[in-house]
Amino acid sequence: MSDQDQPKPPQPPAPPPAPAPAAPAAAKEKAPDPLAAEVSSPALERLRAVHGAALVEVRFWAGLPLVEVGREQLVPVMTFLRDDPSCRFDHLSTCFATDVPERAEAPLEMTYCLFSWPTRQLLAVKVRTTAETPIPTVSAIWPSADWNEREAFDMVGIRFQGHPNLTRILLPDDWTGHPLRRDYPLEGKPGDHKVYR
Amino acid sequence: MYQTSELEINMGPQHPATHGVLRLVLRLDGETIVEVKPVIGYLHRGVEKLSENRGYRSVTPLTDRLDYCAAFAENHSYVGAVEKLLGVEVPPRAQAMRVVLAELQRIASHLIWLATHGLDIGAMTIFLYAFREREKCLDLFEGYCGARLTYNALRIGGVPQEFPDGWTEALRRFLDELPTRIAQYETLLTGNRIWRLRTEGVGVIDARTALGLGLTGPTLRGSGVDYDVRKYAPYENYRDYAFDIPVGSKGDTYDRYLIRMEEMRQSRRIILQALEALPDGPILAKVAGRIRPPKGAEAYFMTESPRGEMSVYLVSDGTDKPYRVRFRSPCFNNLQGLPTLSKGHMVADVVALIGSIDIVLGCVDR
Repeated sequence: MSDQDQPKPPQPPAPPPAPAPAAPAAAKEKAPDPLAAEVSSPALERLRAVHGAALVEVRFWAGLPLVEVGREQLVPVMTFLRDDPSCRFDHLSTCFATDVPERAEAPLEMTYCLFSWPTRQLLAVKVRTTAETPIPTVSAIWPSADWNEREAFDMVGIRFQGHPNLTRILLPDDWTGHPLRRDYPLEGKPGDHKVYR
Repeated sequence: MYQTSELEINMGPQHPATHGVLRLVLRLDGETIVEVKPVIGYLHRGVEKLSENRGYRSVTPLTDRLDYCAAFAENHSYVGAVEKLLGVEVPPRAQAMRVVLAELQRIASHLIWLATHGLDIGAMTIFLYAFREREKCLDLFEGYCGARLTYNALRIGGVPQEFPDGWTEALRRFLDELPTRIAQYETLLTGNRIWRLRTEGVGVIDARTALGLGLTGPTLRGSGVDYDVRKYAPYENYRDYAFDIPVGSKGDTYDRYLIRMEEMRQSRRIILQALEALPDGPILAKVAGRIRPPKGAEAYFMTESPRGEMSVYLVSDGTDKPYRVRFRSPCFNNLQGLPTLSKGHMVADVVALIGSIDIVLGCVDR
């Protein structure tokens, strides 16, 4: 991975710093933003070659490859990303859930930020689901996913199949609702907790 | 004839040794720990939800409140993520100034860790000595940005102001006396028989397990791997400075103690290099008054905070408020390793281990 010794690719594609934020609205769809340019990623190339069918969408922003995979292929893809010699994503930096209600068919999205200490690459993997459909847990691949997935369940309400202990983590056990959903008011709902409100 | 039964006891949330409001449910066999279940969330303020309802610039003060012992590191991580989202290049002078402040913050944070870790295990003397030096760090921060804990000392695109007159001299005076002070702490602890009995062999974790659990920072490096974001994914101009990443060999509490002590010396080394070669030029890049990154822009920015990898993930929907902000806190992930670390140890060792993983509950609960 000698070509990865300079693991800060966002700067080279964007040398003019001022124009990029100055005219974002005009450059929305017409001219592709220089920050959205594809960057070379050995891990992504390997992933495309081996699990190409599992990839729903691949895009880039500021040197970060964003890969969306199908729900069913999540565990094989993640296992591959951890074990393949040119990927070696040994560090699940974080994973978190986002609620995107505009996408009615699969409004909930889980993002996994993977970093590889040996090959120094960063990759974001996304999976979309609904509140009713669980997605498989990756806590068997990276034990660090345990608490992060519990937080995603707590805050957005994604359910994880096979998780060892899927309970609320930050909010009290008798809380109702999921605060990071878009329809959840900022100051909470009356009666969402018995004691504190 | 005789039978023992396991006992479940509660530790915290209001407990002087838990560094905040952390509750632990301990299952004990005699005095040996069978299982530890951390119960967190007592300090949850919904920072991620709050951030979605504010402009990009107004989120920075919120990040101060995450890890209030190292607020600068949190500012840095968030501001860096916004810059990455926008593709803003920070001027070299601002980068070097950020490095100076970040490393000063590391020293301040490690000093408060040393003070409280010592206090937890019963080495009371160290507490006041370490706080004396931390006070000087806080004075320096106050001199720079006016605040002692919640700095808000960064702007998107650079730093808000030059170092004030006389500030770098005061910093140099502090750095001049720091090695003597660290040597003093070491005479109190490093060879101290009681200290070694309380820390050596306590909470041993091997590198593979530690990596899998997502441990970062000195907690991971104690297990013998040199993974440090400043070396492996360098940000600002860390590439320009010579510094070593201390690593441990046994992965116990004593190793993690030695690493943090050495990190203070390395931070001093970095600050001196940065002050020596402080580039001239502007300190703030040109950034639009109203920050509106394009729709679909996403960025992940990793920094090495005093406690480990502090990262921020930002998602934009084209408006002037972030669509999603994710704070990857090192404390949350490091605390996840506590059950593994404390299995089979004594109740009193839990206190040593909480100090050893160096958590701040504001950072855990967000």
